[in-house]
Amino acid sequence: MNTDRQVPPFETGSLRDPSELMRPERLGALKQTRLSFGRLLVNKMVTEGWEIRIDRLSLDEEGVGRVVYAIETPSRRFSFGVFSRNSPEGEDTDRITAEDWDLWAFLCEGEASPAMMDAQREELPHVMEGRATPDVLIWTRANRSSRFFGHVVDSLAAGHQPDIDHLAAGGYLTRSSGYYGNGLNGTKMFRALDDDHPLSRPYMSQMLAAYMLRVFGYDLAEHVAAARNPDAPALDDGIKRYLGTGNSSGVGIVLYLVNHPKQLHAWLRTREVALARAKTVDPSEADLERFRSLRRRARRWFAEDDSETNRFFASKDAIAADLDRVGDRVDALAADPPDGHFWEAVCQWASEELRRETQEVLHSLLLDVRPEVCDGLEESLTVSERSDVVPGMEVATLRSRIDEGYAWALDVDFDRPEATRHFWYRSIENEEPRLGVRGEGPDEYELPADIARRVQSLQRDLDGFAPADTVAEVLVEHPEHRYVVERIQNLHGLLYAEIRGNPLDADFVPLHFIACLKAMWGIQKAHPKSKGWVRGTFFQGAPLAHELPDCEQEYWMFPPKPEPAAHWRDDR
Amino acid sequence: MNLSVREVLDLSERCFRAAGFDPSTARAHAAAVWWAEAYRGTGLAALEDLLGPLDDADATTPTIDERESPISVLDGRGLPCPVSAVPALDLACAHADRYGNGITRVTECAVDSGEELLGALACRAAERGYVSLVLSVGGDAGSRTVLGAPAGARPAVAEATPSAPSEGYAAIDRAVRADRHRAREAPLFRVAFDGETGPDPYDATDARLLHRFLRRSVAPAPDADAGPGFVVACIDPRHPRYSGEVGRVAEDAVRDAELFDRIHSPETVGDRADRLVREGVAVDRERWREIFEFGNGVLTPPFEGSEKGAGFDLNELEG
Repeated sequence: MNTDRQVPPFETGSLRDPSELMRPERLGALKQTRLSFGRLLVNKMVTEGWEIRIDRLSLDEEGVGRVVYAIETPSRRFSFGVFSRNSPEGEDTDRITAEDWDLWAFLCEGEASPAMMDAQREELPHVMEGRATPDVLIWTRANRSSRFFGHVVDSLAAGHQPDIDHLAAGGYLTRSSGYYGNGLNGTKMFRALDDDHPLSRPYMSQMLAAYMLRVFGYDLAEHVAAARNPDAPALDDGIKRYLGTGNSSGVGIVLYLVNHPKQLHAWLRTREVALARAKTVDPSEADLERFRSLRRRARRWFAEDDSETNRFFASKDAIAADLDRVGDRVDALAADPPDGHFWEAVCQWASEELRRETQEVLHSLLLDVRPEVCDGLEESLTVSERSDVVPGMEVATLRSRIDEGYAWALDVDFDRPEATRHFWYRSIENEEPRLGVRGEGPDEYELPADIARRVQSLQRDLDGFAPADTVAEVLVEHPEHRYVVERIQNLHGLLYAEIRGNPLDADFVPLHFIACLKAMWGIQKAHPKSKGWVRGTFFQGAPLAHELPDCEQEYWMFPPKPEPAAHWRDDR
Repeated sequence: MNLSVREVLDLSERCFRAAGFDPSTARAHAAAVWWAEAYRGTGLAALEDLLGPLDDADATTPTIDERESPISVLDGRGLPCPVSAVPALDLACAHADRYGNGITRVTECAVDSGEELLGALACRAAERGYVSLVLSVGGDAGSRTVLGAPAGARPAVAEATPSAPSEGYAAIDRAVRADRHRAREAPLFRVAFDGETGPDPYDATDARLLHRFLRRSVAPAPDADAGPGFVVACIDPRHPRYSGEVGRVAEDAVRDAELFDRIHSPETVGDRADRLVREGVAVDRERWREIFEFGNGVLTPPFEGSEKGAGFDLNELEG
């Protein structure tokens, strides 16, 4: 029995089989974990006691103007500069190339001087040509939530707190559809960050910008309410904690995941190793109590969440019901311990009896029962994307790589017209990745999302070569295969690099890919708006900025809806 | 204006994609643009110069004249020389894996378009672990020789611009035209460079041959009747047929200021590349706009479906 607090071991063979994990439906069921980027950032901010304060604020009664925040970490100062306006109603589209936004903001290293603010104000609105300076880490654009921001301001200005049930349907005051960093628009590149840089892990800069939008949303709402009524109360901390930053994500994520297979593998393997470790830890009584507490919290959260889940995801009520069964099962096994590892038995039962999404909630909770199972894994989240063809590889070896890693791709039946119904393209109108119907648009502009089809095409053309011929000889006659050959060669042995789906298929569901990346980011609350568009909330439940330096809140996921306090109405 | 290194790579890749290249080939060409920027500060200028010829080109691949012989020969079909660069290097590397050295001769290509980017081949080969020489004739420089040698994280690279096609280039060109490159039992190095006598600092025969090849690759041959094009030669210093001295020949040569008039030490290039990563790459806004507009060729023109938003069946809530 392994119950001490050291990092537990795991056996390589205990990681989940990619034929299960890499199916789109399974990836779409993944949930946030301690290793999700948003949680890693909050953990770092709390552990290191970061301080966030307003450095300069100049807003009029409508909230139009500028604000600069100072973010102090033990080793560096960052600034978050915001340009706030109030777009005419109906002009907010959340489109990445839209030019009308309620907020433009940037995250930079050091101080954001007035001169820098002036310069960035000129550049930020220009989506294509705008230039950041090399000390800028992130550009972002955001909108006020039309449903919730006005309600909060109206309520505070009227002297009372907003209706928490209304807010719970969404969960944010500001919503961004993108955080542009790592070289985009001239921002600082990720690889330019030193190892000891506070934001040197993947997505940390983006997550900090998202956190700062949350901070700004509250300050903005309180400022506008106070301008209307000097006696307006501040937004209750309990409500603030329950809200987060809105996010809007679309089908572009499908291409992102297809085009970053090494990252995908690293992120998935890291969480699978943590899970494999967690399953080997046989629980103490304290562990069981902690699990029960976390499960109850999660169950309540799902039961309270009214947001729409659409037919592609399990309903929140169904997951809540499943979590009741998990509780019963754990109690039964605690009373009559199974052979082998306890949590392994629970997970095995869950895989046979429960919905995929509940299984993944269970996995997420297990990582929080014994957080040390995640120790040391953060390092593995950063990977190099470098890749090159191995031209001297023999055709026989390439064939065996295909057989080993791409049997799933060879199994796709492309004789079915539905299997190639769609093509992916990037439109000149706004550069967003989109899906078109083959034959009804110019598919010569097709983007390479069709891994399975490319593998099959390569396999056919390899028949024209001898086993001892080299890849270089194949590619000089078939240069169109270079992309997939390089991919096959470079991803060999990376079990979780390829998603085993066909994005061209008529029945393809982009939501599964989007939900997967949202889980990596750490978005817990998500609600699909369509088959290819999801809105979600970052940092729901996370500590507030003023709580970071002395935070005692160790676990903030699955926050319960705040109970209306007596003073909420008495504030008026 | 300043572009990040990522933008240099992304923009370049989009241009090559717009010109019709496979995504992986486009990425390899984009890496060559970044190489020219990091080593010479001229990558984006070279890319801009290449856009017109790429736009005019009616193909994106050379044809292979010789697949079975020890020396591969590619017909560049009059296309800009970078078009043939990627397959030329792949063939040379593959051959070096098998036989210790590999040479690709590219004929009939337009060396006056994008010739500066060919130097990236020597660097890429060195990153793959090969000693590599790229010899070109017919570009703005007239004749150029680039040597790349593995040297840890970043290869060592040296360049020379002989006043005429180099003796090495001329020897290979002659050998190919005389059909001597087909002789499997007589590797080109031996065909072209054996038989010389005189003092040599190296003991092993293979090392002396390579040393001779390197020296003659920077020595002009004013009377040579060599046609335009380029040659990529790769030598695998780890190959069992070679002595350990082969690697040392390249290490010595790549630092030899008498052989090469431009030496890019890994340290100097590393500092420059790191600075560009930190601070960005300066580019004239008009140049950027021209490259940007060309790269927009990857974007799909409006059509009925594109006006419906993200995609069919994606825009409305279902079920």
